[in-house]
Amino acid sequence: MIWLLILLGSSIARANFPGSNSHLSEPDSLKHKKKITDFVRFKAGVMMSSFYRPDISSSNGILTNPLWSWQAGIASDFFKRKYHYSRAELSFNTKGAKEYFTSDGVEIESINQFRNLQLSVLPVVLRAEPKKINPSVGVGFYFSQRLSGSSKTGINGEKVSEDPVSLSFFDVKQDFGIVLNLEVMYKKHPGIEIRYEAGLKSQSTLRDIKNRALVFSFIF
Amino acid sequence: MEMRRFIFEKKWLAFLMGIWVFAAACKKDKTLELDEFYRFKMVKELKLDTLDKKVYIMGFEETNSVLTARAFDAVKKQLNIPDEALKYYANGEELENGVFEPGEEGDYKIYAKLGSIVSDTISVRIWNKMNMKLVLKSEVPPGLVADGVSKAVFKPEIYLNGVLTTNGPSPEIYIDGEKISSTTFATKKAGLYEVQAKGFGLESEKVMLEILSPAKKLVLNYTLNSSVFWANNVSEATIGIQAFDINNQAIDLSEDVQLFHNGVLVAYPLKFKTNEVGLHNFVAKGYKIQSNEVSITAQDQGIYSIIRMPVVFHEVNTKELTATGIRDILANLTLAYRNSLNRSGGPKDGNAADVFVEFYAATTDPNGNTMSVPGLDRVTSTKSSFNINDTDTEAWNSFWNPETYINVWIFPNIKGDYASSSWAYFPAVTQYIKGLNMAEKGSRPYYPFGVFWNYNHKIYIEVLAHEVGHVLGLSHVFDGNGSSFESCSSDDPDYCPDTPYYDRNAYEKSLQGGSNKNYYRRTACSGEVYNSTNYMDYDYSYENSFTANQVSRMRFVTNYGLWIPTPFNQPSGGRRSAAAGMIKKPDGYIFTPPVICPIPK
Ligand SMILES: [Zn+2]
Repeated sequence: MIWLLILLGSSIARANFPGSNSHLSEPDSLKHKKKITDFVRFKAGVMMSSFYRPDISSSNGILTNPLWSWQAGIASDFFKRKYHYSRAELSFNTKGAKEYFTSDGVEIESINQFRNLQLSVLPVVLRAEPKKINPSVGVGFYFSQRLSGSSKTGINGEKVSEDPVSLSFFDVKQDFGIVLNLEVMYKKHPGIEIRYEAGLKSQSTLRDIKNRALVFSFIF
Repeated sequence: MEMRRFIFEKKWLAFLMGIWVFAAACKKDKTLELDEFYRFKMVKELKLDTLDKKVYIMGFEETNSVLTARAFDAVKKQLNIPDEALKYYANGEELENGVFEPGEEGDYKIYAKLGSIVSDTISVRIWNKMNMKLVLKSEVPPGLVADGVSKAVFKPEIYLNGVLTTNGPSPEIYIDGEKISSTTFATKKAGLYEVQAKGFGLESEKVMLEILSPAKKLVLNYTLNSSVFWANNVSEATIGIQAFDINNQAIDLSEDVQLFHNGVLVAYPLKFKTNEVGLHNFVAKGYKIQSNEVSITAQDQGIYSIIRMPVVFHEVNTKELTATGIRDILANLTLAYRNSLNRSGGPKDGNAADVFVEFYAATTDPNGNTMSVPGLDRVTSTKSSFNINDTDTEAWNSFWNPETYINVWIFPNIKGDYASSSWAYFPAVTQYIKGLNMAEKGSRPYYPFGVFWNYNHKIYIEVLAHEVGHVLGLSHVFDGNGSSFESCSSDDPDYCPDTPYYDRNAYEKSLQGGSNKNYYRRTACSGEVYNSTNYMDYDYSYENSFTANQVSRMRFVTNYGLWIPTPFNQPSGGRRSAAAGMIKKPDGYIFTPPVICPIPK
C-alpha cells in the first residue's frame, strides 16, 4: 500500500512537474475542471530525522547526522479564505536516528528506524495575496502510531545487524508533537514544502528521548 | 512568462542547492557516550566473574587470569555485551585485553566497566613464594593419650614477609611422612610422631608429637581347665590380659600389646598347653608399660612302672570272639589306660593322665596249657538266657584266679533289671583307702571278681575301660549307679577331687523334651559347667580321659589291692601256671550285687 502511494505520487509528479515541456501550455485549462487534486492533494518526499535528548547538548543533531528516509501521504485544505486556510494530512513516514557511540577503542553504530502512520493538522496556514508564486506558513501538531521498527547495531565498523535488545529500549509507540511548515506554491499547485516536526513524547520510558524531523516534500 | 518561469526555476534550483549545501555542511559526525547506547542502557547489573582462587602464589602457580564479566537487565536476564565494550581494571589501571597479569606481590582490586557502568569488585591477593614461610602450630592437650579419641589439632600458619596471613590457602599435614586428610590426629598407637606442614612447594619445620599410652596398668591372669597344670599337652592355661586407664576403667587392648612366654613373643589370645615340665613365665607389654609376671608350673604327671595284665574273655555260649578280635579289644583298652584313646574325638580332660597299665591276652590256661586262642575261654551253658543270679552262678564255674587274670565274662541274652547293663566288682585292699573294703592279704575272693561285659556292649571299648576302672577301684564320677542316682552330696562320690561331680537326675531331666540340648554338657554340684570326658561317667560323655587323681587311686589299688594280676599279688611276675587254678565258690556264698553300668544309649 505504501509503495502504491509512492508510485501514484511519482507518476503524478512526473506528469505535472514544472518545466516539463509537454505540459507547459496546459495550466489554464486546469481552472475549468474539477479535478480530484482540487480536494485531495498528494505529497511525497524525503525526511531527515534524529533523536533529541533534552539533557545532552552535543547529541547527534538532526542536521549533524540525520537518518535519511522517505515520507508520502495525502493532504486536504479546508476553510479556505483569502489569507488563511486549514490543512489536514495523513502520511506514512519513517523516523529514527543514525547514531554513533564511542569510548576509547570502541565505536558503535546504531540505526533505529520506526515506520509510522501520522496524522498532521495545521489549523492555521497564512498566505499572501494570490500570485503566480504563493508562499505560505503554517503551524500545527501531529499524532503518530508506530507500525513497525528495527534497531541495527554495528561494532567497530562491522556491518550493522539486528539488535532486538536495543529495539526493546524504545518501548513507547505513540508520539505527538508540533509542526512548523513552510510552503511555496506555483499558482495553486504544485508546490514544495519544508517542514519541521518536534516530538513532545519520549520514545522510551528509560530515557527522555524525542523525535525530531526535517521534511522536504513535493505537493501536487 | 518564459522569463519568469525561468527565473522561478532558477530560484527553485538555488533553493534545492541551498538545502544540499546545508545538509553537506552538517555531515560531520558527532558521537555519543557509550553509556547512551540503547542496549547498554538496558544493563542494570554488571557482574565480574570470580577467579578460581582468592590467593595466588607467585613462583608456585600461574598467576595470570583472563577476566570475564556478564551484564544483566532489570529482570536478571543476561544481555549480550560485545567483549570490546568491556574494560577491566586492577587497582584502577586498565588491563590490556582483559588479562590480569600481576607483576608483583600485592592485593589487587579488580573490576570491569561498560561505559560508565562499573561491576562489583573482587579482591585477589598475590603472594610471592620467596617471601612466604610455613609454620606448624598445634594444640596438643597435655598428656595426649592413644585412645583413638583424644586428638591433636594442627594449625599451619603462613607468614608473608614475616606477617601472619589469614584466609589463605591451606597446606597439608603430614605425619611420619604420610598425608592426613584433616587437621586433627587421633590414634590408638602410642609413640613419637613427626608432624610437618607442606604446601606450595614449602615445608614447615618438623614438630615432634608424643602420644602417651592410655593405659596405666596392664594385668595378666590365667585360668586352667584342670586342677593342676600338667605338662601333658592337654592341660590348658587361658592367658588373659586386661588394660586399665588412669581412672582404673578397663579399656580395649591396643594393637601394640604383646604377650611374651619365657621372653619370646607369642600370639595373643593364647590357650597355653605344653609337655615341658617346669616354670612358664608370661608377661604382657604395651602402652610402654609391662604387666605383672605370671608364672605357671607345668607338673609332671609322674611315671609309674608299667603293669601288664593278662585278660581272659569267658565267652558264654556265643562263638564270635577271635584271636584278632581279642587283640584289637585289648590294644584299644591299653590305649585307654595309656591316655591315648579318643574315639569320640572330643576334648580331653585337662587332668587327663596315663595309668601305665597295659592289657594283653592270656596265653596259658589255669591248667598250665597253652591256650589255642590267646585270651579266649569258650564257655557253654545249659541256659540260653541269664538273669543276674544266673550270671553269678555261671561265673563261679569259670572263675580263673583273678590274681593271674582279669576275668571278663561275656553273657548274651541277659534278662531282668540288668538286661542292658555291664558290671564289675570293686577289689578289696590291704591298706585303707576311702571307698574300698579291706581284707587280709591272701583272702580268697568272696564274689566272682572281674568284669561282666554285656554281649550287647562288645563294640564299646569304653564300657570295658569303665568296668576295668571299677576293678581297679574307681567309682562313678557322680553319686549313684545303674540302680539309682543321688542328688548332690557334700562328699566327693569318687574320692577324686579333679573329677567334678554332678546331679545325674537333674542331668537326665535336662535331656527330656525341649530343644537346644547339650548332651555332653554337665553342671557340676560346684556350679562349674564342663564337658563330660571321663571314662567313669555315664553317657553322654566323650569317654577319653582318666584324671591324675583317678590314676593315683588306681595305682594305690595296684599297690595294695587283692585279686588283681599285679606284682603285689604275683611276686614272681604274673605268668602263673595252672597251679593258681580256678577259684571255687566259697561255702555259704551269698550273692552281692556289683556295680551296675547300663548300656550306652
Ligand atoms: Zn560303672
